[in-house]
Amino acid sequence: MGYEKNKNNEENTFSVKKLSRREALSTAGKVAVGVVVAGIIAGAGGYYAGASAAPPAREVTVTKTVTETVGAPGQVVTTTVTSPVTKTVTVGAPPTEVKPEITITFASPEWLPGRLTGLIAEKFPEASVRKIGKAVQVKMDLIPWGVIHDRITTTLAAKSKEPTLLISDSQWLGELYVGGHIKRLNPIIEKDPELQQLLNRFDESLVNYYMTYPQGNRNNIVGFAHEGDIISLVYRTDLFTHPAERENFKAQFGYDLPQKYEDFYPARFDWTQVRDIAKFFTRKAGDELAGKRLEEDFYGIAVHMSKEYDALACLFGTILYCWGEYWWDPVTGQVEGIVNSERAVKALEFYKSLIPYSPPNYLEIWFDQANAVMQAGRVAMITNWVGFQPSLFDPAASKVYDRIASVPLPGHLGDDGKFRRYANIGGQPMCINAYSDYPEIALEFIKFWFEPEQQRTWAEGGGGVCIKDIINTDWFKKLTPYNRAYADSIPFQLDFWNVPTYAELLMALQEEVHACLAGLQDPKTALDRLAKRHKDIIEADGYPDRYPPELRFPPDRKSPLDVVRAGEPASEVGKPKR
Amino acid sequence: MPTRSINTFSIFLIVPALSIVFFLVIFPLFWALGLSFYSYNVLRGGLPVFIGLGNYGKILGDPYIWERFVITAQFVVASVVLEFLLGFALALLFYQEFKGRKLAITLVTMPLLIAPIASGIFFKYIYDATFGIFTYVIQSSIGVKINMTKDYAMLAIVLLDAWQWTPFMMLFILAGLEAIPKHLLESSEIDRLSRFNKFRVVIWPTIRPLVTLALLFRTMDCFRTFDTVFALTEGGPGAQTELISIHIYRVAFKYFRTGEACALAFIVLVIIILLTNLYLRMVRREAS
Repeated sequence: MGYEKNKNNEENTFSVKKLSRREALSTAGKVAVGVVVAGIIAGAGGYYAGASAAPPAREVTVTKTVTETVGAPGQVVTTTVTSPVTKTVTVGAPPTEVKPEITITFASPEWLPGRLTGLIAEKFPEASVRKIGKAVQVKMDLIPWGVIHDRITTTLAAKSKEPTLLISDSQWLGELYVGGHIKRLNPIIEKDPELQQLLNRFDESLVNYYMTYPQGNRNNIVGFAHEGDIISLVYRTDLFTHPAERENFKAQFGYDLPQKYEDFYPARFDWTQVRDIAKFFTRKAGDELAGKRLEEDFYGIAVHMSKEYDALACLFGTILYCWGEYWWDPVTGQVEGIVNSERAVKALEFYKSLIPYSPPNYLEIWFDQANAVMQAGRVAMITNWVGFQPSLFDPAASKVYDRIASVPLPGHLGDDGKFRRYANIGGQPMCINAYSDYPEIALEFIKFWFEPEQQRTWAEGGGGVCIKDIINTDWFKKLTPYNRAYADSIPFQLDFWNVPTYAELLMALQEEVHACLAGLQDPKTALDRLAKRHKDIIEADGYPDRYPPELRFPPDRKSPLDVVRAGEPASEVGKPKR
Repeated sequence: MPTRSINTFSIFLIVPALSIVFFLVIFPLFWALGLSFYSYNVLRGGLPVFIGLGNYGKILGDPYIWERFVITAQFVVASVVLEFLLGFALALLFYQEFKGRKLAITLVTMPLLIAPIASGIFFKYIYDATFGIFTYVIQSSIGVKINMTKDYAMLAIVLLDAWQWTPFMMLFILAGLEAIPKHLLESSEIDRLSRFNKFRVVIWPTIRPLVTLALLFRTMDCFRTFDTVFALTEGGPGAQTELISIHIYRVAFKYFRTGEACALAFIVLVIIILLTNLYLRMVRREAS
């Protein structure tokens, strides 16, 4: 019976064809020999291909867009023409091969600035011989954005000596510094006039949010600004300058559509105008837009509202500051009455009021989704980080590459009659691992990084330059279609908490505000719940009482809360209270 | 003597495997259990502070964590039930002989070969309310624009899980069906049993152990589902799909509250062990 059953089962199996043992062994042998031969051929081919290949390229070809303004004298409408060009940026070209004696690692996000940093760092072995008498190689460890925080924090928690240099998102500074994982640089800077001079070459905002902990406390310099980034507004120039659309808009709202850069900045362009414009341009398929019949729905605006990482925190934060409110009081740790104040609720109501004019996937919109809807030519305006804007101006990726412009974000005329223009900063500093054997070498690299030649390459390759005397040059402002907006936006940047509990504070914020945007709770409830959660997190952490004075926000200095509520310039943060 | 030498040799052979299991599984498990009684933040450094059952008390008294347990339970029940029903239907379908059956089975089991994180990303694009094919098809066919990840987020993650894991359930049930002795089926035909009675008396008793095993595996798996849901909704909107596994990840690797994360992981482990015992008891009872 058993034999019969097995036999039946065998017959029912998928392997219907039967092979003899000899045939099977023969076939297996042939396959094995084939695989070995193929492997040898491929290996040898690969070896010779590699050996005969050219030495590593020292030049990087970057497709860029050059913007020039054209228009006959006296012409009322100025047209901005953006054309793509391909440039070859010399990033290294070391004249001699230098054999490295020491290798340090630089951990960075895997994106254009990270790759560009690696290309620029190729010149460091030669430069380090001149500077310190040793050839030092800086090896990049490029880590995808999605996992970089986990990778860097777990590596540092294990007290690893490498990476010597690391990119920290601005809000990680507190958790890395308070945990003792990154170096306080003041003792070294005090002995080095070159570094002292360097500090004066950054805008106040960049020092406050990229380089100090607590924000604005220059007694704790914990990093140097590396990749600057800000959010700007990208709009469709063809729609904003279309005569019929302009006429209709004026008839409906009683004022002109902005049409040139100066109408957005330094003019007092208001967030409420953004909403008017978004409302005006929101059209259904079949409606007319700029003289053409729409085949698909067209949207007014795409702003960041995703739950991912800090997507909505940065955009809602921007609106919150413009409405004259901040997240907390960094001196006392107080939250109640601040993040759920009347002004904050109004700010959230305004943020939510943009939804009817947004694409249907508004709850998932971050940099990628905002770019996608603009590149498809289905939205009038988006907000996005300038670090992610190159593809908007790329003819291969964007249908509207030649019909868009990037301008600074608007502000808001508050209930106290003050016009506030602030935005939440992006970008990252570079820090030195406290467990590294080579902190002095890392500082030499930082000095090398800020030399004019490297900064020029950085700018030309698309990096976010942080040195203000470069940012403010006409050369830099005209280098890309978004550099002017970047340069003008730097001075009004603020940031949220960079305390060790930032991740919990951020998650609570993302959850509560996202639930509000999804219609699961009203703005007041969302911010009340948020205030309670933030209070619990801050109290459980013991801020500020359990923190030593040097790790708290100094009470005699102006905090972002003081500055925002008073409507003072962002550069006042960290300045002595009068 | 030979017996003794064989025993020594056997022990020698299994020492490497046992060492790996001890150092990579058993020791970390007990280490984590120990840490769950301490207040410790691995990133903040400092010495762990013994707080006894403090972490457990904090977790069990936290309404936000209870919310996540409820969400996880909803997800587990909905997913496992849906996968069981669909898997059963597919197994019954593929139990019949028809042309192209083997190809159809291969195609249906394809989702099992896809990495869960990739499935999550695929579905994020498929469900996208502006450009997604799902939205487009629904709108074209019934004229309604559905935003799955906003309005039906729980359904969206359950459907994704069912898409990926129904074939697994189907294969188990199909294996059970294939194992039914042909003569029993023939006898039931001769005895003119109704379809229901044929299922109750002949089919179900044979496939029940495999179905229970499949349900056990899927329940355990659903409890620790992370990647698909994280990639698709990241727990949103708000915290509507924030499973306990996602919360543990955040506590452990975003907030670095190491002791609390260990305690939470052990609570989930206990729940899974209890469920496993429940299932196994059911199987044993049926067997006896």
